[in-house]
Amino acid sequence: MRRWVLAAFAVALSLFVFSMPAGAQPGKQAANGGTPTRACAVPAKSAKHRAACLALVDTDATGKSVSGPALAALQPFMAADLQSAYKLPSALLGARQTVAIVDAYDDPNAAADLAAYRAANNLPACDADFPCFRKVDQRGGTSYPVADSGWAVEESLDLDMVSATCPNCQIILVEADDNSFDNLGAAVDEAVVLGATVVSNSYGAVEFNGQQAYATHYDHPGVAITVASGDGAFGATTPASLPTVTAVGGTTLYQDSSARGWSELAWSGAGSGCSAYQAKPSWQKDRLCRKRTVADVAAVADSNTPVGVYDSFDAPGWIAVGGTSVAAPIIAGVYALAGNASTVTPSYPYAHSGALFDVVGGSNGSCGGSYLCKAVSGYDGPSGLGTPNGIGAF
Amino acid sequence: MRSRRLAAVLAAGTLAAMAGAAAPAHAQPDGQTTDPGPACTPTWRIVDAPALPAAYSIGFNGGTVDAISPDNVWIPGTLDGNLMPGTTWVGHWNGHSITTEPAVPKSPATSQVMNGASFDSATDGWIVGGQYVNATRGGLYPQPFSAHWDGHRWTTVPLPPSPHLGQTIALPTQVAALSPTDVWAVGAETVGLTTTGSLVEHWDGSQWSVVPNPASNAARSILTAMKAISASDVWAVGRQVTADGAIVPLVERYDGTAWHLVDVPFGSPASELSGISATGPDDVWVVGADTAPDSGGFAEPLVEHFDGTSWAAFPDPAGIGNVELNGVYAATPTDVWVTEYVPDHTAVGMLHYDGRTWTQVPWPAPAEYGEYSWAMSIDGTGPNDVWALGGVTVEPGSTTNHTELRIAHLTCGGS
Repeated sequence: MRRWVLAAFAVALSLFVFSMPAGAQPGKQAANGGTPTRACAVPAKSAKHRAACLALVDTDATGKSVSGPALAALQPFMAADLQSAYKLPSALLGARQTVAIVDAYDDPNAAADLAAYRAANNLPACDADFPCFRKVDQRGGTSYPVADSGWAVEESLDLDMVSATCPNCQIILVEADDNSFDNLGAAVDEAVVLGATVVSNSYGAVEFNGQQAYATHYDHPGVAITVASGDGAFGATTPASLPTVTAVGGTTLYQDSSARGWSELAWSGAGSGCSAYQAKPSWQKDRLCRKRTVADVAAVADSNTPVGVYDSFDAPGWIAVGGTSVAAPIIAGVYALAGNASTVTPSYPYAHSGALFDVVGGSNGSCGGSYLCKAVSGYDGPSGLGTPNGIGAF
Repeated sequence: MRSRRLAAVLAAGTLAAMAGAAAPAHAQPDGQTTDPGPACTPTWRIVDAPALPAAYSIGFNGGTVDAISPDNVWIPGTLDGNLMPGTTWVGHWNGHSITTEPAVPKSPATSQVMNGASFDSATDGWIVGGQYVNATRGGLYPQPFSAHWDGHRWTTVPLPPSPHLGQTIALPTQVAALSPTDVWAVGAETVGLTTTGSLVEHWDGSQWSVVPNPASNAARSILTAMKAISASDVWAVGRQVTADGAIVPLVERYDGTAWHLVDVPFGSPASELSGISATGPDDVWVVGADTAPDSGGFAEPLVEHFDGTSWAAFPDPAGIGNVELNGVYAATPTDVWVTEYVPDHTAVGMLHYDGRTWTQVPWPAPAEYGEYSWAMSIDGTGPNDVWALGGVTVEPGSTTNHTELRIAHLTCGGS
């Protein structure tokens, strides 16, 4: 299956390369893979209570997204790879589950790009027979916000990762008016109103005094809410640190000859650490955070081991992307596959950690060597309890 | 288990008795050049440290301080960065300042992780760790490496394959150099990234070889710290997992002929050891953490002492609560320093034992609000020359996240 999908990916890639406008120049191939570049602008410190998306695009020496042969050389992961790595029964489950993706600003090409990704990965198309995708503004309507090419990368990434892990799911893209927590939170609320059983959030900000004011937006019992843990390495971010969400850390994932066929290390950029503001949930029993500890679980996020994403809005089409923005929608898709979102809380993985791959190597910063920034046997900050080994932990 | 084992230990004597009131006034740490120092009251101060390279500054891990003499102190570690594969970084105190020495050579695409380092002189030292290639296909498990310092440069030296069949990797986590022909390394054997048993290796001057140890088949056991008192007295500590899944300390000792398991007391699991120091065979200190009773899982400090005959365990000897202990340096039997992991990254702390009581000693730098502070390794050459390796993570979690070293020196001020 993987070979087929890769072949399809290569075909799609070559189609893109050979259909480029005459004036377009293929990106210069990076000497050593790609350089991770933030897709979205990081709000200035003076811009209070705003979030950045957490997608990292592999770019070349000119700052353009790696594409064409250079992209193929990176061998980004496609849907079959992710399903294989995390032992996901993606083809069998997910019906009647709705995953909402909350992001800021508009991606005008979201539907078309999603179609391209699903076609290249042999996933069922979202069409009249299977109307699995819709896009709304934060009020549930179609008055979409202004477009933003950076957040469009994030939106394409999120749509593709949910599709890869849960191709039978319904997907709602809820576009917040902007990147303020007021509007992003309102979009989460709207996603729940629209019937989402799982809500994926791939954005965040360094924790700040006053973040608790937004906590109610991320507190919806009966709905699983995943949040990326951040791309700024060791350090807690919000809304990942809210105790009502599943904070999703990041790993470096690579294919190898082990019995699993894959191995993972904690990704050096993943966010983790002790919250300065949020109370410790009763199910967390780690040893050195008196308040909430980030993360809970993890999935691939390293832009050196990126996923393939299709984004054509001010972008070349196929691109390679990393960041915990990859991990959060993957976990959202797994929650949807499991189908238990209406009855589980963020404590569920803690009671079912046997259904996770424990990540026991790698670190994400300096903390003196403790589990808060170093992956160890059992719970640790950057990878939480581990990565999905099927759906049993969700 | 906790109450049974600790009750027996506590019945054996008090902390004061444990350390031996009749210990020689200037007992010397074995195997190191001791600086008895002038009559003075040494004080802690922060020594200027080189700025870490910006591209690598996200993380400084595996750091070790190894003090050979007052003008020869090594401070190696691993630098991590989002954009660059990890590499070793070697700092050196020459008596006047800390300089940056050459790193262990590697290919550009390889990420190195230093796990341990040890020097027995200015011209003979070792770094051990793992290295891997970061790629979606054909990425590597961390492959073990060792590197030797000859006074001018590092040369990588092959490590032996695991004696076990299959995909087992023998990955060293710490090393102790006694002489150019007598070096020990400990760690774990793994299949992929799963630990299958503890590892002991020896360098005889020409090659490394795997040496049998009693926990080599104990799944999930690992040795993470060691102390070589002499060629016939080497200790290693870490953790093991019992049949019912409890994490408990693992201690092994080499007697000149073979490695043996040492039964040590411990508190409530999870309980593990992170540091070891000794002034001689009858004064061995180990530190780590166990789990505070009725705390919901929070760690508490754990100090254990071997007096040559028996072990005594002392959970939270200073009554400081939720802290893990990391490194330990015993200058004399009545002068012991310990570094702490402080919860919530809010501060850096040290403990000191003066022969009677344990007290918490503030870190010799002002609190850095909003940053994450930490301390790891500690070592010295005597009561008036102690080094503690610490640092801060500046602007944690942000795009400008970076690490700055804070290296503390206990001295009479002459350096």
